Amino acid sequence: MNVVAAVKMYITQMTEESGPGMKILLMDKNTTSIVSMVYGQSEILRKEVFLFERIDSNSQYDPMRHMKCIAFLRPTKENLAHLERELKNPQYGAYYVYFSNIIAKADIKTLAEADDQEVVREVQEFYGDYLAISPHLFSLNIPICSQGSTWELSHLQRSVQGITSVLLSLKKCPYIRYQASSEMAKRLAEKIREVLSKEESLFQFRRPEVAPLLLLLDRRDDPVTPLLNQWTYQAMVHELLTITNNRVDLSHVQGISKDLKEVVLSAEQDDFYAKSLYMNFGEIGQTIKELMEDFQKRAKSHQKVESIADMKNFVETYPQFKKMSGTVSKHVTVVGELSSIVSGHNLLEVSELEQELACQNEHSQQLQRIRKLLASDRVRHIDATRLVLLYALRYEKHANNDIVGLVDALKKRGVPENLTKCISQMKEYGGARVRQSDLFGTQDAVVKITKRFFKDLKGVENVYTQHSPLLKETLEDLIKGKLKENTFPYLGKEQIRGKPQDIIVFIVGGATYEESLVVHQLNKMHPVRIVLGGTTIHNSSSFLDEVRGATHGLGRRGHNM
Amino acid sequence: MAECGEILEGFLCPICKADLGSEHQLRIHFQDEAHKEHQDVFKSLKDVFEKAKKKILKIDDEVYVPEFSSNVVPISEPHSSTLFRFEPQEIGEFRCHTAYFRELRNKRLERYTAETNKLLIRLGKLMLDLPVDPLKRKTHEQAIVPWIDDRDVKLCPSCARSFNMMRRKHHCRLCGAIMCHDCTRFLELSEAKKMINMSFGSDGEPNEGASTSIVKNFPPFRPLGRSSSNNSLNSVLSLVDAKTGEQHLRLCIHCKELLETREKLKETRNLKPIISQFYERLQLYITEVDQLCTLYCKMCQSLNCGEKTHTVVEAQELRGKILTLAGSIDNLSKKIAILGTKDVENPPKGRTLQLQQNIKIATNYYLKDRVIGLPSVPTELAFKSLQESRR
Repeated sequence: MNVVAAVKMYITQMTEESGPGMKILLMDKNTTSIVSMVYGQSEILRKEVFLFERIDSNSQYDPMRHMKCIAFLRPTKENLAHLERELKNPQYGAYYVYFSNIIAKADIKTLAEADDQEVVREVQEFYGDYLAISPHLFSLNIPICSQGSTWELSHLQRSVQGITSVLLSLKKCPYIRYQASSEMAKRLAEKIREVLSKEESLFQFRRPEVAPLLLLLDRRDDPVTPLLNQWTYQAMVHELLTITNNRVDLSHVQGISKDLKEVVLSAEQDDFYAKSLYMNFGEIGQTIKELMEDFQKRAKSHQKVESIADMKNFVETYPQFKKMSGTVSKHVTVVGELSSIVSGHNLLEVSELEQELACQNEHSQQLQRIRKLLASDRVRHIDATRLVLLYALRYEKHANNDIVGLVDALKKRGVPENLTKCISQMKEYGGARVRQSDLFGTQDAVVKITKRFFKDLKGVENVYTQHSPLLKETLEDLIKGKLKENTFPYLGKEQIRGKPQDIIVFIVGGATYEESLVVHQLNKMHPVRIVLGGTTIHNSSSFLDEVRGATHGLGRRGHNM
Repeated sequence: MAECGEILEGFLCPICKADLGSEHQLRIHFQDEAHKEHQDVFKSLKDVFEKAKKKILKIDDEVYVPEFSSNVVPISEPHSSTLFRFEPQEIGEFRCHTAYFRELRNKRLERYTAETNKLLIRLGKLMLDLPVDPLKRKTHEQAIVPWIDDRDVKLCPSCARSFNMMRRKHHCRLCGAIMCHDCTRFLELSEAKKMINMSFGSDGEPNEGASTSIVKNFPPFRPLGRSSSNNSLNSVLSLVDAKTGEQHLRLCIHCKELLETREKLKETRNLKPIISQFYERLQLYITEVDQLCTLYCKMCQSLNCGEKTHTVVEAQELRGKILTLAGSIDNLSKKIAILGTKDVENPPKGRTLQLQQNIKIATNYYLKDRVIGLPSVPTELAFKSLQESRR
């Protein structure tokens, strides 16, 4: 179960099916991202694909009848209309049309009637209708999926298409379980089952001993994970610099060289990144340092490389080094940028407190520390708000909580209103009333204490990585066959016998890279194959947008009543 | 058919003369029910028909052979190290609509093709011994395509406007229908000649031999006064057309469009720009290098094991050959990259230029992957010691 390989095989198949010759790849906005996640420029050039075009570009070119056109499109109304127009007046000699999802027969008819010049050679469905980020991680790039507490319909549709295409590309016909407390998860589950039964003939796969499982969760059950600062490389880059379709925008960095304004971070094409994806910040610095020292030995230089700043200098003064490991210079820049943000905004201290708020129950001491950090100028507004958010989530039901006082402190600090409002929005979105799981471990004290005890025996953990997402617990229960049916019911009467081995878990409202790491580790530790997906991959700021979207209109309604 | 006194066209059964409407129907009619005793006739007829169809429609075999076989081509393993932890995976589910698409398209195109072919055949007949004399010409035209009676048409069927002194009735010479001047087009006789040459010639090129045999007495070029239709006033007005000095046939827009579409298709299908020719050569070289490299690598491996199957000289020669070819590939890709850039007025730009440059980049990648990393041949001395150690 490797989603990157699955999408890649589809693309490879497209380029091969069209035979030898010069090719152009015609895509829409979404499929452009889908392809760029799994194929690098140089790699696709080697497949004789020399040009790329957006179907909605509307630009008029001279026809190139000597080229073959591979059209990879989502089966949307707009795309079909564009393609119909293209076929009526074809620019290219031959068309190989691949839809990323199920297409209606009526639409095929419309296209067939447009193809008077007989340019179409293939019309197929290749189910690469999602963004494959890592072998075990996919996203649908839906930044805000709900409208109030229900689905925005087009996003529900997109999610159904995305998940069914994951199932088809991995050849899995699963049982479905969903989070009982979430109306959205249930709705999604039902819609997916509709497709499974309507397209029964498509989902006829060889049945393994234990059927695969699709688990649908709701972000609302764990609003804590996306709020935390991260310290593993991928998660940290996303949190502090934002990764969009494997790309990081560094154009805001002062004095950045032209070729580093946007860097690609893809484990497929970048070995260093593939190795350091899940390393923590300290280890990365160490790895880069070693690489440089190794080079120094060869270059017989005696320049000292101690700090990140030294590293940057070093890379600039040694062009050969840059050439030798082009990717390393990219990572030096990224790591340098991360480290300047971390030190500039006191993130170590902030993160430590975040972790304690997420994992430990010590109200008065934590309240004091929050107040202290709120008074510090170095702490950014967004970080201050996050601390208060975490506090509000943990001590929502605490008799002596001082949420009001902290919100006041934020206001005094000059935190903009859209951020201070988040505190009440968050309560609405993922407060105690909404959650079904024991996120902070307050009720089931005995279990939690034993867990903590075992943790402590393993030695002191890194204070910045104490937190483990709720997803870990849920999946571990699932793997052991202990996931409760009242909280995670099956859709329909049939149940899996035995422990599931192939698990696809999808989080409505977005997954995080921290959760991706958990899945990666579980895949390594247990004889299971887990694939994680989300409507999007959140960092804290995109998550706050999601929360705003999900509570938009709710407050107003309350006001009216 | 001519002796029956009426003109029969369409998908006629050669035995009972019934018009079956389409090729498919005709075949079913012939094969299954009506004329079992004539099966052998049918077979030969069918072959002729298929051949003719291919010639007339210029059907590329490549176009019509479905390419399903490639579906089972195994996918090469991904190279990235991160993927090795995952078990091998087969390509995901897919669904093919190509057959359904073709079926729908053919149904629709069959109508068009039949229609176009009918027009081409008529055009051929019209052009054959086309009289110069206007009156004779009209009789000739009407003998081939019966004209609709003027009295039956009150409005132009295309634009629905009424006919009057200023808006005369005109007959399409290919379908016989009446339309107004605005809804008709002229087909130059020279164009028409080209069209029928194309359809009767054996290949895409205008076939001189065929042209002389089919349009035997092609009228000499001179201004041609057109004959009257049923109405003598027409002849006066039609002289205006004759002023252009070109010879032409008046066609309704629909017939003209069908013929033009066919022409356009031919043109684009036969088009092969320089870049394609260069690119094909480039790919030929690359295929050759691929084969030689595989051979060379085997040779090197065997030599480095101290085996006697090959000699060092042999390997070195092969290496030289590969490098020469690689040089040609490099040159050719450079040529492609700058193709047309010396044209001051109309240099390649935008996509064309990008295409050319990307071919060059891709070729560079290829050379880097394939040729630069080739293993080296051991020297004679090293080879000897390798053989020693083998013993």
